[in-house]
Amino acid sequence: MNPQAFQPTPEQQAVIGHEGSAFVTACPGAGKTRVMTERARRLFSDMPAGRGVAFLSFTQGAIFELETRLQEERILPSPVFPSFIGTFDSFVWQFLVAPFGVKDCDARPRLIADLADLAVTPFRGAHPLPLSCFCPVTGNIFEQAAKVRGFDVSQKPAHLVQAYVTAAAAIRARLRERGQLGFDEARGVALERLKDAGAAPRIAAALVGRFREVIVDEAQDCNPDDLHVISWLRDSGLPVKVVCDPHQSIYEFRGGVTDQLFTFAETFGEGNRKTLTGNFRSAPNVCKSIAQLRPPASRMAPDEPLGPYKDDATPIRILSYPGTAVPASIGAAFCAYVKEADIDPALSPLIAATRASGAAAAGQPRPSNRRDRAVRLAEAVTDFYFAAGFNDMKSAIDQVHQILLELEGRLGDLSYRQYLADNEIEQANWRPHVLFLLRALRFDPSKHADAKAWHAAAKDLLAQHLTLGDGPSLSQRLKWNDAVAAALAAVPAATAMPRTIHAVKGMEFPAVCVVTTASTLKSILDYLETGEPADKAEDARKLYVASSRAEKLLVIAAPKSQADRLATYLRGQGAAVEVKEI
Amino acid sequence: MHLSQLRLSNFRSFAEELVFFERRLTVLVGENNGGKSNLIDAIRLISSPLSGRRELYCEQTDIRFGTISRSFTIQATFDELAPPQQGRLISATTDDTLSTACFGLTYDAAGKQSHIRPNLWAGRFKAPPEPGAHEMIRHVYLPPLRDAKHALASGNPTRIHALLHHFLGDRDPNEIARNLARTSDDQILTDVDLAVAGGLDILTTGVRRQNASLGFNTDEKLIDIARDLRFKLADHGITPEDLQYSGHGFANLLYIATIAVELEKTDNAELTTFLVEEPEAHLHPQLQAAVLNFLEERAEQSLNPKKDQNAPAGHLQVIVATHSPNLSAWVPSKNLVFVRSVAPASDAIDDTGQEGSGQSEYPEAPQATTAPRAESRCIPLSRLDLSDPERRKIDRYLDVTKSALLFGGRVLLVEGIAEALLLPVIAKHHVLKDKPAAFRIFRSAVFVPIDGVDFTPYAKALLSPFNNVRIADRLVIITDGDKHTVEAGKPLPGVNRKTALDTLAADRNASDVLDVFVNTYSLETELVAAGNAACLKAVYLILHPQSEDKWDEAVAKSGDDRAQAIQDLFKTTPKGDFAQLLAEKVAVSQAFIVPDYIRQAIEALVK
Repeated sequence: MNPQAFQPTPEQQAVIGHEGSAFVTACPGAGKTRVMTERARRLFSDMPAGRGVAFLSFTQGAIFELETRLQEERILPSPVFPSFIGTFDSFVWQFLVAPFGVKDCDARPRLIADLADLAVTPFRGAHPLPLSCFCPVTGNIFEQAAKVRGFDVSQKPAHLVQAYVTAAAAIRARLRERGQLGFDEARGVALERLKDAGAAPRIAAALVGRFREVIVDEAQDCNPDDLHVISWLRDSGLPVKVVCDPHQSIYEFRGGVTDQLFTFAETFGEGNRKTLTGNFRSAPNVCKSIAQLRPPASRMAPDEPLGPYKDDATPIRILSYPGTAVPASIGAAFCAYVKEADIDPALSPLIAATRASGAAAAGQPRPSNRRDRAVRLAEAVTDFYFAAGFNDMKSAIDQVHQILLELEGRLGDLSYRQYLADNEIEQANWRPHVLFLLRALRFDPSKHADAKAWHAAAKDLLAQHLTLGDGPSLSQRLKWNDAVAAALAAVPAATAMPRTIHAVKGMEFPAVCVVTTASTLKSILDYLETGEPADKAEDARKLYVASSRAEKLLVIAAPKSQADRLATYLRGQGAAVEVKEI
Repeated sequence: MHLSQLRLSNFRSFAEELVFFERRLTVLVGENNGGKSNLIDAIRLISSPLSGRRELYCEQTDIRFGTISRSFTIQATFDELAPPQQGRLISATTDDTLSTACFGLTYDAAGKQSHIRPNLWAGRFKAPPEPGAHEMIRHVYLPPLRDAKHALASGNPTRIHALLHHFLGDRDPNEIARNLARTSDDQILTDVDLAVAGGLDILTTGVRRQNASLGFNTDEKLIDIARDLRFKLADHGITPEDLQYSGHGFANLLYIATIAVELEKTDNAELTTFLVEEPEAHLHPQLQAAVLNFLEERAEQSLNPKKDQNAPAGHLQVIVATHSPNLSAWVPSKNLVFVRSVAPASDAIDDTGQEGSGQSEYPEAPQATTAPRAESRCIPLSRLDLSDPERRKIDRYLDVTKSALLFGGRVLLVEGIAEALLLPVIAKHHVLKDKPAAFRIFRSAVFVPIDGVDFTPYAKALLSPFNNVRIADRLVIITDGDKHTVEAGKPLPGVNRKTALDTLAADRNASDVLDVFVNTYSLETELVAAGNAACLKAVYLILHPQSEDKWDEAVAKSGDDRAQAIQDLFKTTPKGDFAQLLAEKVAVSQAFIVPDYIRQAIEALVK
């Protein structure tokens, strides 16, 4: 976009020109990236020598997007130093952990990204729980997280729970001794440092000297610890811009902070709280209906549509489906709407809370929940060839590399990242090999009759290129699984593809179909109408996030029992809503 | 912030050494081939050139020759980081105070034949530094300017050309560079001399507005630097306009232009080290002092608080490698680091390879040897155990005499100029007459007349060990007994001094390095006593034609009386003049008899 063409709204201008700390609440489609880009342009236009800006966000994807934009606009210098752009975790790592190490440990600290997945098994054959189920500070088991993993603490004897806690503590102690930290552990170390009355002010002074401003994007994704670091930065005298949409906080499982965020906002003075309520993404009916999906206490008026669809009158469509199971007819009905609106179905996802209901709505086989190796390989190959960006491609390459190491039996009880760190394995040394295999593993209908043929070819290829050693054969290590067929794709589907809510965060599509289930929609509506049950707030926010991805056409698939109730509710602020039974 | 320490492991002539640097100015002194250039190169490898154009890279030959290990490491420590520097260099900080940072470079050639990349690390965990942080520390290398073409082609040719362009008219810079490489009678040299003469105007009149036509009229900074330099040259009695007429005029000017152009950019870095190698190679003595004085003052100024306290510090640190006593004498001794080569104690690895150090500073070709390979060691004079008054005494002495006292090796300390003048003659024509090898060794020694009897500060400086190395290999001191100045039976003052000096040496584990020789009375008396009365009388009469009686009367006495009388005779005799005349005679006289203590001292010096 031509910078001259950008005419900020008064709200946007107030954020762009604001000096000092500010808490910015942005609605969906508020042009956050544009505003941050313009703010950066202003800061860099008279940047004193040796100083910079720290841009922080919570996902690699968000960072990649912002970095790309800043580079395209030639705002971000290259190299970035002394500025910083990266995830919040990497900032914490680089400035609060890596230079100082771990207390009482001489080993060089290393960040092991997948440490949280390390299996905790107190004895052979025990049900494995990931390390992330145990609090890095107290060591206690997170009951909710454990329950999701099939370990209900209330049903287990105390000595067994204690055995898990002891095993997790032993793993953490061993890792700590070697300087190996996961994100959670690193955050714990950083917080310890901030409590150090001697070191913390020195670090603060150093950061104030280097950074002119810290911009924290997507702050709704932070957890209470992150928030603690953010307020420490602000209170240390660094101008901090916190940009967020508290209604889009969907990471409660990692200790999301919706309520704390509202409280934190209050600590900014009146003049330092800014809002962006102009929606440049969605059509008027979408704006009106998603306003209804905000929690009752902070519903507010609908955001003002300002974008290309601001005059579009397309109504909200509700697909009312019978029974309790999500039917495949949803996908078909959605595609019909999409074609009618002259939108490319490939750009129109079916968004569901889980992979299973998304797949059901699209008429695809139910995805295997077992993380089967052959399925993972097929998925990684597909992801590689249909990657949305370099980051996706990179994670597909890493995934294949990990599978190859597993097949060769190299990981032992180490996590993949831990194995790389321990053996000082550098990308340059294995990437060419993995890329070669990825090229050979591409699913090509002209070469492979079907998924089974691909599986056989893959086994042949890997047998030639891997060092398997003793133990099970390759066929045993890479067993056939019916889900492989669903994971393989030759060309991008010309139909609506299922996506999870977490996967579409921050994205936008001309049309979306949000798939709701009988089990959740009722209580979400209860919550939205009355504020109770309060524990459905997160589900309501997920519905809000999914629905607010829509630019022109928002379709919601709802069980028949709730469809009319939903329609009535969404009309609450004047949205046009049509219900169709399927 | 400044470079405070450099740790070298297995790098060129260094086995394992820690070198200390002073905040503003450090002068590396020492014999040729001692390792000074290697130190400079280590700093060039561990930091980025300010110009961005690296001219020196790690090579396999940088690994100390003859060692089993196939790697070397250079580690640089920087002290006194202010908070903004701590923020930018946080990945290199070494402790929780954040006030010290370190960068290291490890070059490991083990097991690989090609593509060996030096590994850069930083901080207490030796982890990779944050990208960009390391570039905040820069260096400017000012090589011995032996080749004008090279100077034009390196550094910042654009700016130097800009500086000269105005005076060279429309001529192609490449053509000029080409021509500069040719013989000295090329017309271009005359042209360039003229051009550069004009070029000096930029240094001299840079503040004036008419320079707006020069092409860098907007460069306030360069003009400021040029003006400062001009003032500094004037302080040292140098008129830049005159430089072109001296032998190295053009080279000198290029050199100065290079410095000015580089200084312009130091504000963008936290620290820039100016590495000045052998300025004596081309700068005439006055100019050496002027240029270094100028750089040191810029270094001092660079420590002043900046307008923007968060900006890169822009600190400047000057490190000079020289074997010119002139330069080393010009700075306080605490700024000196003595670099020398020593035979290692036990590291008996045999090699016959080529020296890894320096480029062209070998006085002789290295010889094949089966002795353990010599290694370079450094002695920072600031860390020797000397009191401030002792230090000041040495500094004052060096400042005036420009003595090579601290250049180490074999040193002979005597009381006065007479001994210093006579001893070489006595050695050449008498004691070492038929021993050319011994005489060569003798010639390499430094003769230091301290014009007094307080040898202690000098002996301390020369004998105090730092990490088991000391400046002097041999120290011989000759002092007078002065028996005639004390009552009979009292110990001789000279003997007292010897006892004190021997104790000093013993305390420093240097008894085998020091020999102190004491006569009974004083030089002239001892020469007479040894049987050279006629010779001395002849010389005395040249200076005092009317005083034959006085001479005869004095020499006729005996014992303490004679010593006192002879001493009185010389009270009115300029000692230097007397020694010069006597030297003439000693050189040609077969009959001259060398007093025993002098013979022993000469033999001790060459042993």
